[in-house]
Amino acid sequence: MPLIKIDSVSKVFKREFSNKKIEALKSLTLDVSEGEVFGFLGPNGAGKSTTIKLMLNLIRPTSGTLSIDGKNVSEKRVRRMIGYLPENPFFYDHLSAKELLWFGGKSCDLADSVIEQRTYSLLRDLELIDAMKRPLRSYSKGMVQRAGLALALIHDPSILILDEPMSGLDPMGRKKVFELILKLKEEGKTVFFSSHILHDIERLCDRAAILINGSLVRLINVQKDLPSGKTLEEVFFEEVERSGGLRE
Amino acid sequence: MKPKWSFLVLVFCIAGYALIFPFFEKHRYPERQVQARELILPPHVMKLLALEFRTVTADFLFARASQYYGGRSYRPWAWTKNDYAWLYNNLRVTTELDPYFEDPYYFGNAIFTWDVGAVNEANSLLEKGVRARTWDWQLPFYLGFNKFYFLHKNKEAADDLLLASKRQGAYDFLPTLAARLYNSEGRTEAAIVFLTAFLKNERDAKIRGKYAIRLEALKRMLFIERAVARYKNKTKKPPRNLQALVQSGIISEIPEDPYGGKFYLNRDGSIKTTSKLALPANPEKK
Amino acid sequence: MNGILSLAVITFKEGIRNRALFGIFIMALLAFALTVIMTSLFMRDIVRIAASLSLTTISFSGLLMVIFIGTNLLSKDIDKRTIYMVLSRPVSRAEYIVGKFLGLCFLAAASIAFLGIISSIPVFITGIGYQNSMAIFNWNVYFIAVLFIALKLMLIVSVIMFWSSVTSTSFISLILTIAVYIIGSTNEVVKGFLDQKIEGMNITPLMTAVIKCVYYIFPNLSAFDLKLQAANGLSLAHGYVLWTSLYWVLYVAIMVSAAALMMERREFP
Repeated sequence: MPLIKIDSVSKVFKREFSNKKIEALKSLTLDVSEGEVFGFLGPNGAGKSTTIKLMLNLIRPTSGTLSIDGKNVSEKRVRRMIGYLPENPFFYDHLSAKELLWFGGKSCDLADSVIEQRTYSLLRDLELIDAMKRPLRSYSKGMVQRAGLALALIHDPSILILDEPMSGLDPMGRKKVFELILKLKEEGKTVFFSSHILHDIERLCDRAAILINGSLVRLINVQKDLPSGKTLEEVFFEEVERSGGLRE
Repeated sequence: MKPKWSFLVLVFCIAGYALIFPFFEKHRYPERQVQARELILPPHVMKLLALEFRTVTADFLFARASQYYGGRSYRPWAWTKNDYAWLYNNLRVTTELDPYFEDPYYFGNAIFTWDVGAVNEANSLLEKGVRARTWDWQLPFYLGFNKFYFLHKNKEAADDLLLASKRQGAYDFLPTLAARLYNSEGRTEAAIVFLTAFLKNERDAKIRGKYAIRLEALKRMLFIERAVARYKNKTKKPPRNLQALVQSGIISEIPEDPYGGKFYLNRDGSIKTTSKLALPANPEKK
Repeated sequence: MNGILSLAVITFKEGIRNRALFGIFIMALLAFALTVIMTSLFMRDIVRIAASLSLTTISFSGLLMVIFIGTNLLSKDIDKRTIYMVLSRPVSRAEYIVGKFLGLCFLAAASIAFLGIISSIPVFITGIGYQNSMAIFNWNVYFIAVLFIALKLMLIVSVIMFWSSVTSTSFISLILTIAVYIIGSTNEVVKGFLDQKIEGMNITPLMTAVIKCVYYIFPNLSAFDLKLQAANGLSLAHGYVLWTSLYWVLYVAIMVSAAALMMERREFP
């Protein structure tokens, strides 16, 4: 049984005070199995973030269903299993990383001692220990991203959903995230992430989906399906061509 | 569909709200009365605090005064010195904040002359109004009446009337009336002229009532004064009491005092009444 | 429950570290100092005036704080997407609303408690010099008045939450909250004018209906204004505190549950 099941999901956005409709997703169907590392790629505006937010119940599908571990994503207990990192994370400015993680743990019903221990180990791994008690507004972009990862991991979720986790990071930062995803894979976690960096997807993912203009155009088993000699990049641009270019 | 708990909670709360509202309102009532008499700071402080909102503050203060009076005037004997002091303070500040606002002057004059007998307070308000509202002929007119009728300051009253007559819209009889004021014998007639004019001008029903009753009393007093004059003319000496007028057939009966008292002939020959031209203190008491 | 409480805690922390709060407190302290000076302008009833000015300062500072910081905290969630940090946890929309509300209430309560205690200093100082005036003063009523200011502010917080759940811009919810504050402060008085049929006021049946609706629907904020009673040492009628508190509970509950309901239907693209 797939862990994440997206079944014929469509999402239409209607702008206020106008009849203009935007079809962000057109009947998307997708499965992710337990322990898989799944990549999600596509041009800007393809619907990647939309799909991710649907999984987090931040927005609701116009039609179709999404379920995780057999439960509809609208149930809040589903989010106990998920660690989410948004594209540009924003946090309450005046909180420290420690307080942020305390909140993350408490809202998942973790005991104080567990939170304390996990906080220290996570912040050590992510090299945020020194900044632990400083307010988040004093953090650099890379530090914020890492704090976001810590928040996504504090409750030891079995599923990680990351929206463009490498965006805006310097090479050191990107390396850290890369290694983290590898580590999670080894631990048997399921990772679902969207990215522009095709090279990373090639190296990390088991399977990947290409989304263009709200439709799933190609599902690739990265290790097996890539024809010899072709890189993922080439396959990607092929698909873009085939779809007749990019939508506005 | 799962039951929407928040919707049910909302409906439940609205029901509860509707249920307790009457009780809340009932308990609120006594406190409202307390709050009706707001703290009035001295005029210079109010002016400062009101910033650019002086006129609005003046409007609001006056509405409060009016409401306060309306709320309690059906039992005017229940008014204490504090009530009048508050009202006076309120009107003083209101006219400081906005000296051109006409209502407080008229309102204050009506209450302080007729209800409280505090003519000097009323006059101080009116004088302010006369200075500020230079186009308003009525304020000096009322001021003149007060000085003539209550304070017996005939010359000053006449001056006020002349000032009024110079302002636009004044009644043309004002200069003539001013001349009459010097004549101490025509007092009641002069007063009747004033009151008739007031009655014509006044919009507020409660205040009209006061003028009407006073006017009626004065008319009856004038009737008696004229009867006394006819008696003197006929018998060459003044009557001993008012009964004499009836006995000698000058009048068929002594008119009743609309204030509930009895008219009598005073030693100096003027007509007075036991009611002193005021309504009884507390009609509820027997 | 953990979700609600932990959210309340971080909302409180975020609010209390806001620089604007500091500014408002400084302003309040200056106003208190000014109170002591101002009372020397008066001759009698000094303690009464000191109490009145102190309570006005608390009320005004509290209002500023609640309106600016309250809308700021809620708008940050929506404008700057900090809400993702909360909604990605196993926390429902309703729990989010309740948690935020509790956090802001703690903030309001703590601030008013602080200001309330400080405000009693000028009153006390003034009282020392003028024992006659002090005789009629009643500390019980004074602190109930402070409590009611806190209740009023928490009610306004619930109104802010409601507007924030309905509108998408923090500015609009700010304006609407100020409107509710002004209407709520005057609706009882206006209905009073209506009931007494003041001379010369022409009120059409339509206006009567509107005034009545406004009186029932908008919160009656004058019920929480006990400055006069506190200033004059008047004790409150029996049951007043009880029924007014009940009114408060139900009104706040209506606002919060309506906000939760609206929030459930909202999307955060």
